[in-house]
Amino acid sequence: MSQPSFGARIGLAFSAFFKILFDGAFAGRVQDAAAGRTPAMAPPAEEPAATPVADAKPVAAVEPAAAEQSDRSALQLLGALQREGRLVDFLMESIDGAGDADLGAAARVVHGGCQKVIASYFTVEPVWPGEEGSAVTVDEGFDPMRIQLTGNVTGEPPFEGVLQHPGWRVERVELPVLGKGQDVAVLAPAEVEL
Amino acid sequence: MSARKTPPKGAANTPAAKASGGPSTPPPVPPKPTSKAQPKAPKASMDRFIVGVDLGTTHCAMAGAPLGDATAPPTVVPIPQVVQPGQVQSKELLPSFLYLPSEHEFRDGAFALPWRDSVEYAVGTYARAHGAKVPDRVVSSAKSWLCHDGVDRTAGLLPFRSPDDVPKISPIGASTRYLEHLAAAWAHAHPEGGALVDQEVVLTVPASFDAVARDLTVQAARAAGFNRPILLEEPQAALYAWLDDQGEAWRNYLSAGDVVLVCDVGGGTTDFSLIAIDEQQGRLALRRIAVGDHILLGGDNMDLALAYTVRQSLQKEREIKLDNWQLQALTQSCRVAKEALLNDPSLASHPLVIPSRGSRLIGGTIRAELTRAVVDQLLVEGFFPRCGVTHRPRQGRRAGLAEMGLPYASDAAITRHLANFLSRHGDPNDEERSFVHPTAILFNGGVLKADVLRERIIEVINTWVANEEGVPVRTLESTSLDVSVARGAAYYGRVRRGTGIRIRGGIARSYYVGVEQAIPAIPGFEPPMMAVCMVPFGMEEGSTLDLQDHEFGLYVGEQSQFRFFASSVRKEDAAGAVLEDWDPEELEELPPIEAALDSKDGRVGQRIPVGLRCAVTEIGTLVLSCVDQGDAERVWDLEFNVRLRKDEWSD
Repeated sequence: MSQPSFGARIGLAFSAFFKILFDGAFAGRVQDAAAGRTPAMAPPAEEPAATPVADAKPVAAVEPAAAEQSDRSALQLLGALQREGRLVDFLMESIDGAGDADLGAAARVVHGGCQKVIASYFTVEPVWPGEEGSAVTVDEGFDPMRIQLTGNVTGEPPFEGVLQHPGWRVERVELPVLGKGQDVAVLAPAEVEL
Repeated sequence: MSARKTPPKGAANTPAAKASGGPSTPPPVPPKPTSKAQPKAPKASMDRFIVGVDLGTTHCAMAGAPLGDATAPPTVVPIPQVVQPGQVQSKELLPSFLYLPSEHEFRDGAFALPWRDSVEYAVGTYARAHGAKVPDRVVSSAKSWLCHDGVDRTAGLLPFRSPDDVPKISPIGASTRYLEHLAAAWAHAHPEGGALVDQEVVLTVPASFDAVARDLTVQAARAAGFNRPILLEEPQAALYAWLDDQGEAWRNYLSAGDVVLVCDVGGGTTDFSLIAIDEQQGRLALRRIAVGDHILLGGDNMDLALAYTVRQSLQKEREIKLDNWQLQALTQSCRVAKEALLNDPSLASHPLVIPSRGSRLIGGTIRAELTRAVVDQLLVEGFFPRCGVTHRPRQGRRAGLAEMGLPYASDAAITRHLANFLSRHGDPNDEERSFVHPTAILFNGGVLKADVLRERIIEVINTWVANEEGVPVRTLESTSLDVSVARGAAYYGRVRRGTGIRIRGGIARSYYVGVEQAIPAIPGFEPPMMAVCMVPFGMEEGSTLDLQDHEFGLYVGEQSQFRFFASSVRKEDAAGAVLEDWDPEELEELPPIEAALDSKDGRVGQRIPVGLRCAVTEIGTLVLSCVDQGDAERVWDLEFNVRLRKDEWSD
């Protein structure tokens, strides 16, 4: 299995983030992988039967449009984060040797601009709007996608525990409508002053 | 601008929405029901609306109220606009900016809108953002140009002083573009509800707009396709929004004898009005008793003042020189810092960051501070200084030709403009009060969201009032200072149909026609001019007056012209009143009014005796005409000659 570099992983993490956000099928596979289950999509090497092909084909035939669409949304968002918050400038630059004062100043640009984009494109709310560190009860039939149990996970619900992180959930997505033929891969055009 | 909580109609068409199919993706549309005026399935096609349009100097907004349901509050209509080439997003406010691109600058379709594929210009958010980088191609403050009588307002003169190959547009043309955009946005949000041009549209204008600027606004609206735009003064709209918020409870706050000062400080202009509460036959009635002059002074001036000060100290203390691009970024940063400091008194300073223009952000970003001391000194003391009610705004030196650009206020002190306004409208026969004592104040405009500024204004007024042993002013609390004018305008549309309370007041100025005095000719001297009151202050919408006792001769085949004057302070002059001399402060000359009698009206050179007639239309404009004294059926309309510049008609 290949081990991508850290830089490549930042890019991968970003595209994975948006792909999970906008692509249900992909999200399901990631969930399986994270849970240690055999990825349904991985072509099992010793199983040359028709099933994986049949599995792969419809995916190959149907997915491109959707995948392309989610890629476009991801690029569009990345473009906005760069435009308003200079995020790509910030991440593409090495921070080795940079002083905290300079980093702090740059972080303020990134924070202010990216926050504006997030507020404009999404409504993000806590999954469990409670105080961190407060005692909570997880009832039977909880949604494991919304609530993750950690620590000493034994017995039957209801579970008594402590809220470590209230989680985040996107309640509204409202990206600007993209025109046809717009090259969203250009996150920022080169600027030439006349 | 903060994010809206409610998605526009277009939200269902976003790529994100299409991509979400799986159960694990978040729903693109919030599950909560929305309260926006959106077509609700089949019934919507029946609904008609009253639409309030705030055509602002820096921002436009639009609100709709269904006619069928008088209890439904007016709701703000989101406006799709280009936010980036090829990207359209809906926002509550449409920045009043128009960008006129070079043919090489963008690919085709970059400014496409949901309702139109090919647009050669951009209006709104992107126009403002990109215009900051290409200042020669952006039109801003078109509304201020619309009431600037030093230029020909019908001529293509915007963007002002831009190079020859930049396309030019007139102030009316730019306003038309904004209104066309709003009309299209309305149609887009109400696919079955009928076009905006067919709805009842209330268009707000500054109270300080005179008959000519109002007329030009209506021309722009007609050019945009609106059939019957109705005009409403912005401060009145703000008070209507407050009345709408209060419902019947407003009577708990106001009673007979109250005088409400509406103090509206927007992005580019400051506007004052006074509204009195009277009792008529046992019922409370609202009457607008005074409007202020047009003051080009607002929140944008404050942001600029901060940015220039910070730039200067960067240069002095750290030898950092900012270019224009960085100054724009600094101005943005100052705006954010200003709002933070004004809204949170516990902050001593707020960081400012000016990002590098190139891609190196770390190390290239300039960091500075905006301190409370600077904000207090520059904004609070600079724009809202404590002053006496007898103080007047400083007059700037008026250099002849430099006057071509917008006549910005030469004194930034809003409190001194306010002192001038309240004093001018005081009753000269009142021995106890040298100025109008407002008993209540309603604030409007984004700048006045800041408590510290509101408190300062109240403090200053209360000092004035206390010196004459009056009672302190009360504050009428209002919500949503950014969009209340649009909401109030929609409310007014209902009021016109008999629901809710109406502010009366009629026309906000008296108007005069210049007449040469009949005295024996003296060689070398022009016969002295007298002014005859043609339209008395407060003349109601929908009424007509014939000027008695004054007959004029018009010649067939000639353009006949009359000098024309307005006053916002001479409220006692009745129609026909003759002024032989007057204080130039009291009477302001407007463009001449003229009528052309062509030969079908008689023989060329024939003199036709006429009388003057004026009508205040239902929509709030003046119609002036000449009536043949021998045949009342023969009427010629008098038009404002706005092609002339002020220096061509005065002196």
